[in-house]
Amino acid sequence: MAEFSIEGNGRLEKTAIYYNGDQLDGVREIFLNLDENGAFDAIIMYIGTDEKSYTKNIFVDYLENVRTEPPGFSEEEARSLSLFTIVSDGELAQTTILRNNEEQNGVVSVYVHIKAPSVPQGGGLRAFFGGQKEIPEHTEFKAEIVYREDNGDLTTEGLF
Amino acid sequence: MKTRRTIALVALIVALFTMVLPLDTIAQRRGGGSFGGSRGGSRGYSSPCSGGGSFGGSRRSSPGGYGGAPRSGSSSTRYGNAPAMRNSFGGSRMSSSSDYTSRYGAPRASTRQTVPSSNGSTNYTVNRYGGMGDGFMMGYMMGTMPWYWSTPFHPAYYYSRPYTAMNPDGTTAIYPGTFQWGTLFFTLLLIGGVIFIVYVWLRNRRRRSLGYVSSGGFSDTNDSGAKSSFM
Repeated sequence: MAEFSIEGNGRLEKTAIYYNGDQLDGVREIFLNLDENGAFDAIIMYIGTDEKSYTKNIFVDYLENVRTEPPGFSEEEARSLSLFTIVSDGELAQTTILRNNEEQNGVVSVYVHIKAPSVPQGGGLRAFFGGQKEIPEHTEFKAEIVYREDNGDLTTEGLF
Repeated sequence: MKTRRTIALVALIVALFTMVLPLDTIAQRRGGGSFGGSRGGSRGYSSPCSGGGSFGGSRRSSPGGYGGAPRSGSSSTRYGNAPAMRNSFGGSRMSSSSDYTSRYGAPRASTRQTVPSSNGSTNYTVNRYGGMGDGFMMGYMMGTMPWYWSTPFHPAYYYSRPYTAMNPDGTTAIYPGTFQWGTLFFTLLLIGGVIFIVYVWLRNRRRRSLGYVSSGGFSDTNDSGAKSSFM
């Protein structure tokens, strides 16, 4: 069972990703789409220690050459942030969702899409002569969870 | 990038051509170079064989004019192809004076001058054409060339050394150096290249600094304990 967490305040500058307790570094994009009908998409794209770009299924694949770093937020800072955690083995039936370490029930769907803006590609002499490419990407930050209330109504909440 | 590569390729081809072609000769014919563009009106003067110009025809039959401008030999060998050797002050020795005069015409003035040398003294027939090359020729003859003549900031850098040829009377004919378009081209290419590299370096440095500001703190990937996992 892998534990995947996102801690932040809704801004990319203050968003930390944890995988089994380690804070990841070099993350480019996170895409989570889970719903009770069986959809289970959990994709992470990151730049590895070898400067190559990797796209992995978070709960199925081994995060090869992933970069980690010491925790960036102090306990005091963490208190002002929201922590969203998914514990899963890749199967919806074996998936637990937690918000601020509290297990959530009645979840209909979870949609998280966080994407960092452009990243420079190509360095060294190529970069010196202007060959460095900036891949134009716009920042994406969407994180929603839908609950089914006791009366059957659906409630959508922002995760951060 | 493709455009830049094309420009670089064209520049390289042109550079190779300039290395092969005696462009200074072409320049002189156009009225450029040491004789200046102002003499374009007397172009017939610069090609006496064609018989054009006010003085060209008559002077061709009287070698004594202008103090005996050297016209020995009828060799059609181009001076550029003649076996060149260094004379006492570093110019190129031509097989005959006609190599020079057939291209640049008769000199405006020719004077005899004795210059002290290691062997005593050498008699020179100094041929003047009235251009900037005349001054440089005299400088070379005197044997005192300032160091800055060898820098691209001085016109002498773009002129060849004087040309010399042996006259039948035993004197050495000396002709002014000619403008070297190839040198100018390569110098501009070199200086332009350096400027381009510095410009690109500055531009990329500015871009990098702007990129760092726009991406905020979260792109700081090597910073351990960064606030964001994203880069």
